[in-house]
Amino acid sequence: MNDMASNKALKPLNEWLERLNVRAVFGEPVHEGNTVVIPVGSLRMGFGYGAGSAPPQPGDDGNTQPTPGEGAGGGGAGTLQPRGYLRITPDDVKYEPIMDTTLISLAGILMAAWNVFWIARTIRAFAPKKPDKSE
Amino acid sequence: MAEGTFRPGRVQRRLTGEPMTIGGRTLQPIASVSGWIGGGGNEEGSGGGALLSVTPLEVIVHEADDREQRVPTPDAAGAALKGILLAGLGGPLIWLVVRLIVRRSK
Repeated sequence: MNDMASNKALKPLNEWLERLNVRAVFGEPVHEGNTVVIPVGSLRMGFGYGAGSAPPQPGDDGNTQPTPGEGAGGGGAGTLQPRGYLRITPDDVKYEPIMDTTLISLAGILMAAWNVFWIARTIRAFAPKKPDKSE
Repeated sequence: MAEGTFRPGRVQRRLTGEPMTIGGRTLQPIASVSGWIGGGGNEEGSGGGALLSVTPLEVIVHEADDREQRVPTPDAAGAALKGILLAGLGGPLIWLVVRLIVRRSK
């Protein structure tokens, strides 16, 4: 891999990352009477891009032919999830988390069922084995 | 704003926001960016990619009387899910211990 080419490939990524700031996760303040609310979230993202071209090929007559093709592309995905909000009143500044109660409840129920399964298995390990009726 | 050039590999940077004044207080949000970036190429082509997460860490509050307080912004839902996941390890762990004890006693 060529270092110069690698740096060139990372240039747009670096330019984008240099512009990244806290505004990605701290929203605009919302004023409501004496209270100001600033939404807080967390951001996850992934993306990629690439560009290429075929090198000049010598033609049948020995002359270099024009580049036969070139292309570029990119793609990405991301999620911004609410995490909570800052409540600023004349008295204090408080952070109020946002909980997805449905998700937490569902995870709790699944975990309880999972533990019941393992506890039942543990009890079975202790339980005396039934005598075989065929004997 | 993040400082410096990002190199390929693991990225871990602290982002410090511009101070904003609200009701006589000055608030300065702090976040972190972490993840991986990569790229490469040669004369024929090049490409790059990134997998990143931006996480809010805290807000530094400068009061009008020069007092300073830090208000952390933890991920309460994430912490709860991690706790539930950790509790889920309890069942198999108990089974494993009991199984070992039963086998040794035989």
